[in-house]
Amino acid sequence: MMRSDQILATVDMIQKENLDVRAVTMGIDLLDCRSRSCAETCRRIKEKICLHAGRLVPVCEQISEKYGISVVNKRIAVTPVAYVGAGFSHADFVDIAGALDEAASEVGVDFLGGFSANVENGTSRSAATLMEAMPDAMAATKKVCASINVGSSRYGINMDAVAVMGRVIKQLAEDSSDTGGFSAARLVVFTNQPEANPFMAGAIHGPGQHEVVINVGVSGPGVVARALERKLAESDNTPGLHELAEVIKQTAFRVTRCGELIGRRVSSVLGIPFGIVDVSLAPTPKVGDSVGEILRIMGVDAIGAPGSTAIVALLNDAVKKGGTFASQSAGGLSGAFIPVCEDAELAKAVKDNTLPLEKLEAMTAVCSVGLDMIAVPGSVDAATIGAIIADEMAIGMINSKTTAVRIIPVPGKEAGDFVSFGGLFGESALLEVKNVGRSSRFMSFGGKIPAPINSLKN
Amino acid sequence: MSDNHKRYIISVMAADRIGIIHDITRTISAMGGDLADTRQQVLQGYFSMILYASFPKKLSGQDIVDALTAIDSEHPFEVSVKPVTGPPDNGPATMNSRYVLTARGSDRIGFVALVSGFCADHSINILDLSTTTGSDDTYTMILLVDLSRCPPMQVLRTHLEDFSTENGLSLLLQHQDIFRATNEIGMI
Repeated sequence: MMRSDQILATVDMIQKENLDVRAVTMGIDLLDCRSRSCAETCRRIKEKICLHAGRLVPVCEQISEKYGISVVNKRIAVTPVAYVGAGFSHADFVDIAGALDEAASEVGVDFLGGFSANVENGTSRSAATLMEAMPDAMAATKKVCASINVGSSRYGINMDAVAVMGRVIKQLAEDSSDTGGFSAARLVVFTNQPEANPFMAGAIHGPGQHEVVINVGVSGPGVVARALERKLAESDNTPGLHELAEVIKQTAFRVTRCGELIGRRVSSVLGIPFGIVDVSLAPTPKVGDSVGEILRIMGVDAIGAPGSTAIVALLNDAVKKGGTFASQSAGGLSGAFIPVCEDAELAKAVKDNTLPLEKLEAMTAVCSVGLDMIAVPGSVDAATIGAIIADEMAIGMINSKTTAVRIIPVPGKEAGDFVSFGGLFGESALLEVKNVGRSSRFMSFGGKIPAPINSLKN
Repeated sequence: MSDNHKRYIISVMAADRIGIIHDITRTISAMGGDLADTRQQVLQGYFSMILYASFPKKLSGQDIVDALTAIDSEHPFEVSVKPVTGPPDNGPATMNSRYVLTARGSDRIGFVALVSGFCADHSINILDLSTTTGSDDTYTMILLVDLSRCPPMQVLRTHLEDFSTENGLSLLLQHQDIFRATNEIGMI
């Protein structure tokens, strides 16, 4: 029998600290679904998804019940549709999105990712058609998520694609003005996009993966926050930051092990190989499940105050260290997320005006994954959104890390106004964007930002 | 074990002191006893041990009692010996049905009886049990249980929830693997 204190610590993680498995995501290769006609391709796509993922939700629920750990989201990631639909028309891409949406509904997952293309070194015809079809595809679907990889450390940044994405994001938001521009929340623009990643909206099943695979995303900001509070309460002398890093590391180990256990059991029941655990601290809007709260516990009275970036760097690194030791195969994004709307404390910091866009951007340089779920005024123009994307992509490209932008220009609202997307997508005040309209000349150049040099590191 | 041996469960209780385990096991081996399994606990200064061992057939249960009682003539051990019949019980064939049930609530008379009553009513076999009283008057029970003969998990969880609410207890039923995963570093 294990020690009582260890048992009770685990019980507290589950009962009081919001420990769960954030996402079990099935990756499915769709390349063999391609047929000469789009209609036949769509039929095969639906058939294949239903064949493999038909039992995903019930099995997750069964494992969840057996182990007493809830699996919050069950999802699917597919081969980037630009590969599957190469040569098809705009309308055909919209039809494929529709087929994916129907399949996702039929098997009961909450989201399906993969309406995607990789244009890091140039835009192929199929990728261009997919990007162009994106507003129509998103408008026609509810569960499909889209992502575009516009850059990488190897190839640089495709600025033509960045400009297109600025316009697409504006269009998505305007087309869904009745829901505060929510369609834009289903699209992520990446640099160095991981090809096996269970988290939405950027999940894809990239090339070089299994035919079908189970990937898992863990959670745990609440568990880390409570562990830090306990450490501070128990210590006679104020602990050093290295000691707090150790607490985070150990907690990340526990959280990751739970995720890996559940993921491996799901994969074993389904008879599908297990891929990776994404060791990320993914917050939810629930009180007590916030990355922002960890920053406050670690010493900044306002999130965004000087020191915030250093804390995020420590947190991100400690999570990785604990998580990689815990998992047989850590992968994906693996770090600490700071999605503003989805994190009650970060959203409050935006409302209180302590966390400006510029500080948020600085924080993303040292953590996963980027400017995530930020709401900005609907009046911000496409070129400015493109330039915000370019800045964030540059951080990823230079630092050889994944960065992403998921930005929602909320139609008809201004900085400080409030928007709510509901459920796990949360709510936030709109961030102020300074110098709107002053990046148009930069954006109009187009072309590429060349790949960075890999020596003379400074 | 060969046909020339007989299996016994032996229970020994005594005031705790240094050397007690050595005395008991030395006596058993001197009689030709082969130890298979043991459990031992000390509570409030009292030592209690339960042993599973086989002895040459020529020895009776009373011989074992006498030998162990004679160890300490000043403070004789309380010894009880029962012969084991039937095939050896190696526990449930699978670890898959092993769960940890924790119950917490304010300290009260009948706490353990209440929770163990729930277990009995639902065919939950208790394999191991420990209890502690916290400084804030919280009573905690930790039970290692086997659920192989239980109602379906969904039904059990619903009943457990109702039972928690009715009795003002905080109960959590988790698979043993969760505790292994979070507290050990071996493969899961």
